[in-house]
Amino acid sequence: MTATVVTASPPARLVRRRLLGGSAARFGLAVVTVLVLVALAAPLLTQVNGWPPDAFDPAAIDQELAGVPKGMLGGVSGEHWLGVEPVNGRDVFSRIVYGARVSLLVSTLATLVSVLLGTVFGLLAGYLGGWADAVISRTMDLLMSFPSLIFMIALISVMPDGDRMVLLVCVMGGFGWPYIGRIVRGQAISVKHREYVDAARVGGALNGVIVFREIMPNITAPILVYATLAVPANIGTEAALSFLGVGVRPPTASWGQMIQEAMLWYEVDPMYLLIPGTCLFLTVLAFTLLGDALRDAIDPKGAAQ
Amino acid sequence: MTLRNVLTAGLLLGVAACGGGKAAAPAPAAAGGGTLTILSNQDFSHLDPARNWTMPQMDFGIRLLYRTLTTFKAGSHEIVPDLATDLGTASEGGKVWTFTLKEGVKYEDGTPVVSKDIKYNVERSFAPELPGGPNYAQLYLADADGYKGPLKGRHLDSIETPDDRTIVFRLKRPVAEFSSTVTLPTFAPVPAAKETVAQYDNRPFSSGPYKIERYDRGKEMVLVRNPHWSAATDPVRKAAPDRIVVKQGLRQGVIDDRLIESRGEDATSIAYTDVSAASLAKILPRPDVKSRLVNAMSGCTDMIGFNTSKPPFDDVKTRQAVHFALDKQALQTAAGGPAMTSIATSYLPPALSGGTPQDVFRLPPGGDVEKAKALLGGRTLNVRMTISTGDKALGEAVQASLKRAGVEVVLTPVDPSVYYDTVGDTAKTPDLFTYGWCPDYPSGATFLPLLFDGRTIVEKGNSGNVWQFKDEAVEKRIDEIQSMSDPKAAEAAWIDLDRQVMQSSPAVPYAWDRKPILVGKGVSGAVGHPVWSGQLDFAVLGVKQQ
Repeated sequence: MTATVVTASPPARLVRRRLLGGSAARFGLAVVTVLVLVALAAPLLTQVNGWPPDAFDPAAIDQELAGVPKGMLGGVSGEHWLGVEPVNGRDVFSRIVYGARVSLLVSTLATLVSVLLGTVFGLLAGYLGGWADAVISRTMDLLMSFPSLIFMIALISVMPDGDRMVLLVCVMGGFGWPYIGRIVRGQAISVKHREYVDAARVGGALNGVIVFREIMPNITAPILVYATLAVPANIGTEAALSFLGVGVRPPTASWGQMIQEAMLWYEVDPMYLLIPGTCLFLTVLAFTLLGDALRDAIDPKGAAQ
Repeated sequence: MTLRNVLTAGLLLGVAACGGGKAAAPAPAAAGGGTLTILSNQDFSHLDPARNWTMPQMDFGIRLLYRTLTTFKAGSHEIVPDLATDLGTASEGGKVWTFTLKEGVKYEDGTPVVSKDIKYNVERSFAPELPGGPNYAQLYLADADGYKGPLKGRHLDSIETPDDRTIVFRLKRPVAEFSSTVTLPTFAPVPAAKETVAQYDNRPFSSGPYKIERYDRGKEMVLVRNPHWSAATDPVRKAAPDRIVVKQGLRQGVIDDRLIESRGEDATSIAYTDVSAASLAKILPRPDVKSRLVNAMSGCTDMIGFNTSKPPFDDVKTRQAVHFALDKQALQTAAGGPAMTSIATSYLPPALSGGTPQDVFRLPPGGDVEKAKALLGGRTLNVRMTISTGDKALGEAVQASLKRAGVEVVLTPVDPSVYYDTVGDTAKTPDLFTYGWCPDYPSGATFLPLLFDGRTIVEKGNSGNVWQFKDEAVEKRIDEIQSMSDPKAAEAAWIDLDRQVMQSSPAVPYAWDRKPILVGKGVSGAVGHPVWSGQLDFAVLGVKQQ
């Protein structure tokens, strides 16, 4: 049998109880749930308000005034629930919900890539030791010492024709895995001399079986916590890359690109900056709160410190 | 003056600004004295007269620091003699041009300007060590093939200086408008003794009304009066302020805000570059501020270009389909709206087509989608468009309007610093791209031959004919028009050629811009110059004593 590190009582129920105990965690979970639902229902929602994310609305902007939205609060009206973008009159609500898709998809996939790579390489380094450990650890050091944002910009700039989404996921995942890889490696080293691992080895189990059946289940808690906290960081990175002009290809909606365009307009149309900014802030906050709560719930020892 | 001028300026700012109001504010007589401050978001790239070919620094150089053989009157297309006593005398049917210099024109150290100094600077424009300047000397002068500039001691035989006050140019072919050509900074004097090659950019030796007192690149330049300049020899430059200070490296938004408030020193300041689109929204609703927005026609044409060298746009019908499908109104809004730009209907701006715009296809401003679909014959297209990162709104407007006709556009934004290298590299030219052109002086000869002559295409660093348009009939016609000796007949012929090229649509002209420049309350003589892309004419600016 495999021992659980946390406790002997039914773990799932315990974790759920601890997780939903705090109001911050409930808030985080609620926001994340709403966000995921909105992202999934984006085509439906834009059908309800009648404005596809790329549709121009010349009637909603004042062409004589350099394209400022007509009306109060950046053109908020029954027609455009959150106003319109200056210059082209695209519906801000529609772009926000489609932008949520991009943010969530890219950051979740990038997190998956980095968790996958980090776990596999971290386990191999920790369990095998020796030259494998040396090679993997030095690679991780190398990647971590890179000024990754600058490198990402350069990389995406030299591959202008690729699919930007795939590129973003690969680049963010490729630079993110060493952080989790080091945690996994450390955990693997501390677990690999436990009695049950020795028992499996004496019993003739293959290395692969030992790594993935005996060691990995016992270090899922830190991986899970790390992954939850990596999502908001990746959302921020995606927004930053979009802000710097190397994100998704226009006209795909993206919060980072909206914020970048809104910078020019913040004095005459503050709503345009406020809306994507608030969305980004709430999303990162919610994921961070959720990640913190999850860590406390899974690893009460860590929380006590 | 080139693509680069218009385009780099526009792209670096990241906006095509917009504004409203009258083309030219009334110019009160410039009061003498005081300090004029120029607020700029950039450094001068070249002030060396052999290399200075971008606006507004070309205007800055030839109005303040050096004089040319002839020049334009303030606010006018009219050419007047500057260093020369007249507009030049043509002989041998326009192939030989002779200019006589005025007496009493002096450099900042009091030595007289002599004809061999002008010859020396024209020769410098050939030097590969000094790139970037106007290339008309290379295009026009006889026996200049293979000439590599005067820096290694070789001189051109096709420019003669029989005495200190006479200069004779021998040309390859008749050039009727050579009096206009010599308004370019290539035809300003540089004494050979003052040659510092690349360093000359930092400290041009002044023959104009001001000299450089201090220049801290990217931060500040201070100009003081050249005591040896004499107003008696100069019909154009008023040289009203005692000092001119250029403050560089400011953000455009900050410049706009300072000039909108116009307090203290800012009251006697002007902006060096265009107001940003977002600031226009602050300026236009305030009549007092709007009255200080100089908003002259730039004379430039903004275009969407096709790569005519490969499918799908090697086909005339496909190009026409896209031409008809484009929603020029949406493009106009992206470029700043009707207050800032007019919808372009031909390549030649109205100033070059006899003052009235030439409308070749008579399309509705929103485009004619049905006609486009008919030309495509049920086909759908997938094309790639490269834009500079600052032109995203424009790219999206192209994308949205072509989608209506079944043309999907994939946008690739690239950094402004590599945009022209991408477009000008014939191996990399995208299917669709944005481009622009301004005339160097009011003549179709500085427009159509540079844009549509297939013989000017080069593999890398291609400029002008970036669409790689090759049409023998057009080339033949260009040669014919260029050999005409009557400028009036030539102008009419350029207008006809404009219509002819429009039928082949190697590019779609979509906007004729205005140049929105904000000035402080205490600035007089702020007039956009119609020849120099609507840029303020530095020759007549003054400050009112506060």
